Amino acid sequence: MTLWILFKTNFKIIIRDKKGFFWGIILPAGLYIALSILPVDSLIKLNIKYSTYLLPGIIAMTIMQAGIYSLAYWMVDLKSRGVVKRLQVTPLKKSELIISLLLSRALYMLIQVVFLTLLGVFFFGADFSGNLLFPFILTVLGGFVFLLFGLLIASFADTYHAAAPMTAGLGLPFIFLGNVFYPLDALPAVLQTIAKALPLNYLAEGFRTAYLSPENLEIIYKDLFILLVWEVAMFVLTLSIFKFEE
Amino acid sequence: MSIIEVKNLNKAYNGTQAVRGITFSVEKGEIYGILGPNGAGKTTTLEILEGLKSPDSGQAEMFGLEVAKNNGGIKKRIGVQLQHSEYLPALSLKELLELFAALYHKRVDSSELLNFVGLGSKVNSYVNELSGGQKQRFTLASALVNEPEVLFLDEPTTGLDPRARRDVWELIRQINSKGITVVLTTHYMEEAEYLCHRVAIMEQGKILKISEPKKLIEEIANTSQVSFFTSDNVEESWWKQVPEVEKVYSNYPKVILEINSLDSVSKILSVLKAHNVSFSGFSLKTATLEDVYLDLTGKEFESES
Repeated sequence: MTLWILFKTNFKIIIRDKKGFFWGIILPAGLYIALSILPVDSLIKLNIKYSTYLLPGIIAMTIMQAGIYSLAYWMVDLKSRGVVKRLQVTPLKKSELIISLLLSRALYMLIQVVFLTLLGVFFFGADFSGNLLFPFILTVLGGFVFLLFGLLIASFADTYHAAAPMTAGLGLPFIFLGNVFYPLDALPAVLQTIAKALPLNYLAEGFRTAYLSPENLEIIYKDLFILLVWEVAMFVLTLSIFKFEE
Repeated sequence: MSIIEVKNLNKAYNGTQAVRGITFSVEKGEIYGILGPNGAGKTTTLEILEGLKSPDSGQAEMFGLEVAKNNGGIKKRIGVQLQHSEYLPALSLKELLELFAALYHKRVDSSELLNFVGLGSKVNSYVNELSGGQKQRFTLASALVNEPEVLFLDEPTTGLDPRARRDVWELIRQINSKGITVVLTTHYMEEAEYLCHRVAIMEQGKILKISEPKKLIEEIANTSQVSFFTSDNVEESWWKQVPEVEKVYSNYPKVILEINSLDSVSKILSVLKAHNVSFSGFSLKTATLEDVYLDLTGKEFESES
């Protein structure tokens, strides 16, 4: 019951932050539109339209950013103002707080994914298989991984100032090596190896496969499995590091 | 058995010994004050009792249970007002109270509780729309959602104007009259005198004295205080001629004389005149907790307004 109320309340907060809600959807949409209009096809050799290739990538990227950037900054702000401390004196458990944060933000991510998908399909004619199950699972699973990254950063950063290099330090490499804008084989071998160790790569691949060729179940299951492993690892790590008591 | 018992508590924090071997106990139903200047260790002491920090050594017990080991159980039975309270954004007072109640697995009639603290008309307002005094009253309300047995208040009226301060004092008294034990920290003398059944005077991590405010004052009630400002040299030996002067404190440029009889005031003025001392701000004060503090530490209490 506590978890349900925490979840509801956290989601209310997300919705009432009108600016955050709005920009969280408009910015990735804008990026997608801009890149889909540009003649990127001449730069990257693909046998599909770039807007089709890009859509799942942007979706994965959006999930990553919503997780790392927005949660890290939000949490750092709350911690520095003493909001978390106020919660600490209640019987609230760390795990309850974390899970409610994960669930409420994953719900927002679903909204982002739906919007971006509609945008891509109806305005750019991006291919979409119509499979709903896998994108849903990918959003939740992938979302959790990156939200936990965000919380982890918030555990180490006391201020925005300290959080900024950490979020960028993770976010930027993720984007460049994340299978978002271009396939991994466009990268030199060394970077490819690194990219294959990162979760975003598999989230993007999972979405791309689900959207374009969901019959490739082994690929999807592989991606889901890797994300699950990342998630369990991140959950254990964050739960032990996120400071609640001194 | 006291509702709170602390023995030889020690805590180092941020490189200093914030709490050095303090011992005190709080009885059920009283309003207990910990009085001292900033940096005395009051907040750290409270945070140990609230379960936010763990002690380095010594014992802290509440409801007969060891605080460090029974964190969860104790948290359910206490209410806490931190020095700076901030809340989750974008939620109304009603929603916040309901959230807090849910954390204790309880339901709360938020309208009733807000009415009790005088915020009945602000049920759907947001915290950032409240004035300082209203915010403090809301913080009190949020500390009461679980009907606690002990309420911890860390500087409940700091930064409030006198009217708001009185409102909060009255609320605290009303809360206490329901049988709730209150432990508060303050650096306001008047607050300790007005509210507290007993007060512990704390300075630099140590408790100097514990007693009822009235008794503490009576112990040195024989003394009043004369003070003045001067840049001239004032010798302690001059006061030997004025036997009513019991103690002399020199805090350049202020000189404070503790006297046991108001008759000596004219004598004091004569002495100053005889030595050609030019002074200003001559004032006479009868005993308060500030004098107790002065007596105990030899230092003047630097109160903040």
